[in-house]
Amino acid sequence: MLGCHNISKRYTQKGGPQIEALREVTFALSPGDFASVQGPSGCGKSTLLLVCGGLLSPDGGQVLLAETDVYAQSPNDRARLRGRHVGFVFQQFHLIPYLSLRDNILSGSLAHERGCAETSAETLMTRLDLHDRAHHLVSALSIGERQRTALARALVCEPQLILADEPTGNLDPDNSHIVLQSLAEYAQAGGAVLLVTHDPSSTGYANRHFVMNRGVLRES
Amino acid sequence: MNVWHLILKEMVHRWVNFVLAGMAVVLAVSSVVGSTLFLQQFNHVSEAMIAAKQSAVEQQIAEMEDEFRVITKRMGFNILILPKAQSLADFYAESYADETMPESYAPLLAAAPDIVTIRHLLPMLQAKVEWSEKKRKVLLIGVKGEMPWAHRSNLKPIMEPVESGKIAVGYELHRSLSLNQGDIIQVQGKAFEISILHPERGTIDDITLWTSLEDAQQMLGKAGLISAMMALECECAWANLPKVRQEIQAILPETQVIELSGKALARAEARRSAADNAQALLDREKANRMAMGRQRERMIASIVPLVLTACALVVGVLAWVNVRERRIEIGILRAMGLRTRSIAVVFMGKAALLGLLGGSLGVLLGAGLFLALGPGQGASQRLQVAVSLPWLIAVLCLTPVVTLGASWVPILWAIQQDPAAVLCEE
Ligand SMILES: Nc1ncnc2c1ncn2[C@@H]1O[C@H](COP(=O)(O)OP(=O)(O)OP(=O)(O)O)[C@@H](O)[C@H]1O
Ligand SMILES: [Mg+2]
Repeated sequence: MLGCHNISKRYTQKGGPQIEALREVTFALSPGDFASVQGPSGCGKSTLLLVCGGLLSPDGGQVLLAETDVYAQSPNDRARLRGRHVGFVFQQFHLIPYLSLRDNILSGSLAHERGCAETSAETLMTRLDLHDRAHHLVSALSIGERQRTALARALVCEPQLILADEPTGNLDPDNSHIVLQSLAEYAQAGGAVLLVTHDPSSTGYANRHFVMNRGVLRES
Repeated sequence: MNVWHLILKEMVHRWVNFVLAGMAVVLAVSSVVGSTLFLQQFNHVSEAMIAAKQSAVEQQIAEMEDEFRVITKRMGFNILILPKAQSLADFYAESYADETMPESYAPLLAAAPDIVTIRHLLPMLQAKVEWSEKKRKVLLIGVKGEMPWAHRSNLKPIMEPVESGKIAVGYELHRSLSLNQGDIIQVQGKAFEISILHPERGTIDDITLWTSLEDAQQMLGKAGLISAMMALECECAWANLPKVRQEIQAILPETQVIELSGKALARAEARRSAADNAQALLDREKANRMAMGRQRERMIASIVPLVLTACALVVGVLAWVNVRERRIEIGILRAMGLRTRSIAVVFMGKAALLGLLGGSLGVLLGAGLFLALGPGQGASQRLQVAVSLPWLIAVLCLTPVVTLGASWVPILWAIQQDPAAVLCEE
């Protein structure tokens, strides 16, 4: 599903030292894998997600997504690959403020030539207990509802891989549970999840555990 | 869910931005539409006004020319071409010219290609003689008939020629001598048949005998000579004797030209100068209106581009603000797989919609303002001018192009955003 081979990524700041965000990272995820990545702040976790999701070219190594070498593709093909196979969930949700909850979920299908089934959105809203808020704007939603909406948006077109960057970082335990549980169910249904988190309790939902330190990834 | 859905929702949500940009577009379009319509209407009104006055002046000129025609008809010949040697003092004292010039002058003048100021040319030989048979002083005039013009159509003659052996007799003569048409009379030993008895004219005509030119030349012993040519000025040269003189004397330098004037002519001259004045006034007014039109055009040509530039700037700045505000959205859309082209469509669609809506409202506002405040009389008349459909359509089509152009830099910036950089920002 997802394969990373010897990925390295360096940030060069003008006048500052070079930062090695990823060093020779190699790992692979298969359908059904729910992988958690833990590590101290600044160790390169977010960088790893962006590289895996085809949003940030690595300086070395290869990323394979659905048997395709992501960074050998043109930017447009890479976008198509993302749209078809990857769903993102961010700590800050990044919902579109002028769309209703329901439209935000459906916006996950914008990149698809054939919009994904609206029924899928309905199902997700029911499952994530968002139904009675379907027509509210983002600003009228609670933090937990926002993150559940972001999760539904990532899931609406049933991607093969979910990349989640601290999705529970802003959530209370109940909402954290709902989100993590949904991700676990998604993995059980044959998806792959790469979850970056600070929260030790969230690792309990994962079936594979990685630790990251100064750009080096180890499976534990 | 599609891109248009996104565009519409965003527009409604951030309506202040959209309304401000829309107002700029409306202002720009309405100022273009309004000022163009105002100019069009101004020119239209000018044309109508000038045309009305022109037709009035033309009417005046036509009346004057009619009057000229009547006068000419009544007056007959009014130009007299005399030998240069003829003393005018003697001519006025005796009412005829006793100097002579070659008869060939007449065909020479009639054959001149560029003579325009006179019509009807009648060569004649005149002499005051003692009619020996009747013991009377008479004026004997030999007339040849009007010369045919070589270079233009000939008109019905004013005076019919007298045939050889015939004679026309003035009123005083035939009255006092009890002459009748068909009588044979002797003049200087030559027999003539009376062909015409002229009615009373109260001039020297009343004691005049008219014969053919050859008969008169023979009787007076002046073969091949004439003493005068009568002609009629054409309307174009009325009251312009110098012009007639110049033209005739260019061909016949050994002649002099006098004009037989009268009351009718003086009145006609007055009318002519009135008509000339009216035309001159009209020409001045025409020039005035045109200058005013040009001045307005210049003013509009300097103000409208300023307004357009200012509005385009406003649209551009507002597009920039909008794009900046939507960085995260751009990032997340890119992360979800939208290509740069689709991102461009999101912003271009909005700019085009802005142009279309603002353009339509601007056209309505411009046309409405024009109808409410424009120059000219009836609203319906103004509307007729206003509804130049292809032009309005062109404005409606061009406005989105302009708004797209004004938003181009922000759109370019938007599609160049690196989603990774945006999404990692807190
Ligand atoms: N665009 C960038 N330019 C320069 N340096 C960067 C950039 N993005 C990240 N870094 C640096 O790279 C390192 C890894 O950053 P990254 O965001 O991946 O860390 P992280 O593990 O996600 O941290 P956190 O847990 O606080 O989110 C950090 O030291 C960070 O300062
Ligand atoms: Mg991070």
